[in-house]
Amino acid sequence: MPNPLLEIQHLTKRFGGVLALDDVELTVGEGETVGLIGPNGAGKTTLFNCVTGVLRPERGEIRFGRSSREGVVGLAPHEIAQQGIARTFQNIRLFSSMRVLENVIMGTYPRTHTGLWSATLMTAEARREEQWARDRALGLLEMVGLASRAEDVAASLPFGQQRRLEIARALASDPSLLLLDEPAAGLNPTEKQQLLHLIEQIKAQGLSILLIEHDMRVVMPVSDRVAVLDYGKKIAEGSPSTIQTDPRVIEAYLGTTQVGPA
Amino acid sequence: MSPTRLTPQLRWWILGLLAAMALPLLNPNPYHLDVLTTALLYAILALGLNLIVGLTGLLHLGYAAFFAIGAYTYGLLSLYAGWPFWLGVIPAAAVAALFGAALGAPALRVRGDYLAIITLGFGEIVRIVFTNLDRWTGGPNGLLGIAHPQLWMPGRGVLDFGVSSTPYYYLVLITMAVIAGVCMRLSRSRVGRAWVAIRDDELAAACTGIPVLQLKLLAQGCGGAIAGIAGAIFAAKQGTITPDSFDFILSVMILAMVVLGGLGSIRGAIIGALFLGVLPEVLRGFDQYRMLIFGLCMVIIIRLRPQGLFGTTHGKQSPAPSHAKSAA
Repeated sequence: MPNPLLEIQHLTKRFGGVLALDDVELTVGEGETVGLIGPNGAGKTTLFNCVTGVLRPERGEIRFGRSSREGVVGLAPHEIAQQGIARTFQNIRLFSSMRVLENVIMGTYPRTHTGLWSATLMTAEARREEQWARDRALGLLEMVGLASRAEDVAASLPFGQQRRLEIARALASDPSLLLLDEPAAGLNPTEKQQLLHLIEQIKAQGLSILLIEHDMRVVMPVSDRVAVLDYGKKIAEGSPSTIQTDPRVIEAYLGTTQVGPA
Repeated sequence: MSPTRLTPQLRWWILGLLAAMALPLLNPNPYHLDVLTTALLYAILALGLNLIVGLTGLLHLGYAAFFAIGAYTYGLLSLYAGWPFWLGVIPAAAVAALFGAALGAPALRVRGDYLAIITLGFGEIVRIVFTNLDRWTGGPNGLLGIAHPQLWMPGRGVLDFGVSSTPYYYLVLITMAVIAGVCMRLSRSRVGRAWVAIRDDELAAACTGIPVLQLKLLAQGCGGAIAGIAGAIFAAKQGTITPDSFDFILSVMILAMVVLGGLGSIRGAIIGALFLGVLPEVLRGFDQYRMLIFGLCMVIIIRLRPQGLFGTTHGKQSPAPSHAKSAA
């Protein structure tokens, strides 16, 4: 087991009377890719929202960091992003009026410093930083295969490209943990193949990934470990091959076997 | 961002500025210059409000209050402490910026319509406070005898701007050009992009590492400072300010200029302000039908270009096609 990067313990989140997350434990190690699966409404996105500070859990600890892991519960989303957790969204949330390149440049925000005065005076430092952000963004667009669309408005991209743009934006902040929320949803088979290839590339750079995905043909090949949520509870965790045959997982997805006369 | 080079766009800006500089030499009609000065003052306000409404997407209905705060700050400093204009404009900008940020801190916890109502209330409160603090502000009669700007000219001694039109025209034109330049640099910088990111998608902006509240306060502060500068110039030009110069209608007019020009567009804000500032004067010949035609022009523009003259955003767009949900 690699050195843990993200440690979640006793995570509990309630929406009114519904327990969206019920005492969930999950660990993502350095350089590890963990798949998070489960039926709709199982609490997967809620878990992402708790980790990124969008939601505040009722109970539980979320610790993140390479050497000394510190609690992130109670921090604002931008502070958590600064610490090195980046995410994408299930329903793609781009800065739709901005250009493709600018969207990715936005991702470098936590790694840059130009403020009001240096931007107004356009100091040498500000120019240098702008150039650095631009180069970095272009490199990432190259990686996700969108370099040719750099100057287009983000909203004008087809769906599959918007997903890849969102990943590039997340990578621009140089995160150590990447949360991908159903990156394959709505993609055609070719695009899914491209996505798999992209995830492999990201893994090769040593990033840890926590991946929510329904498509087993995406989760199973890239995940080192898979955790299964159902009704807010973690019901199983293990290697992709053991999870696929786990009776509790099959039950959660397909329902209980009813044996009896037809 | 490429360092400032002589792009075609920049060439148009310089050409426009030179033409505006030459105008008083070709047409020294003081009435025309006065109308243009007022319109350019509106342009400064529109540029400031554009940072708040256009870039950051915060609907602000009390922007005239910052204009008032700037005007009264300089007015009071001039009357009670004898500060000259060039010195008084600095605290005018600073105090207005401070109020912008101070109002923002509690108000920015709400969004959209609610923020609009709070800012509307703020605008009215400021006006009413200036009306009722009559011990210092002269109440409804306002401040009288605010010093005009003075400028030392080589070889010509001290020039008092007095009540002539030309010096104010140049003062406002140059201030407007400088502020437009600052706005342009800001809008293409890390800060300006973060503002637009917040407008486009606040949640995504926060998760991308943008301190949303801090940047909203910064936008309000910058917008406030710009209105404060405009206010100081206004007070220095008029020599007299009364609370009713800063009413709700003015806030709405400036907002209309920004929307007409196109939210987020800098040349849009300027053109919108010049258009709405000059049009009522051009239409004076139509006498009582003047505002009717003015309204008709607005309706036609909104019908033809809902995104504004130079706008690029077409209202709210959903970034993801609808099949994202069904496939999830």
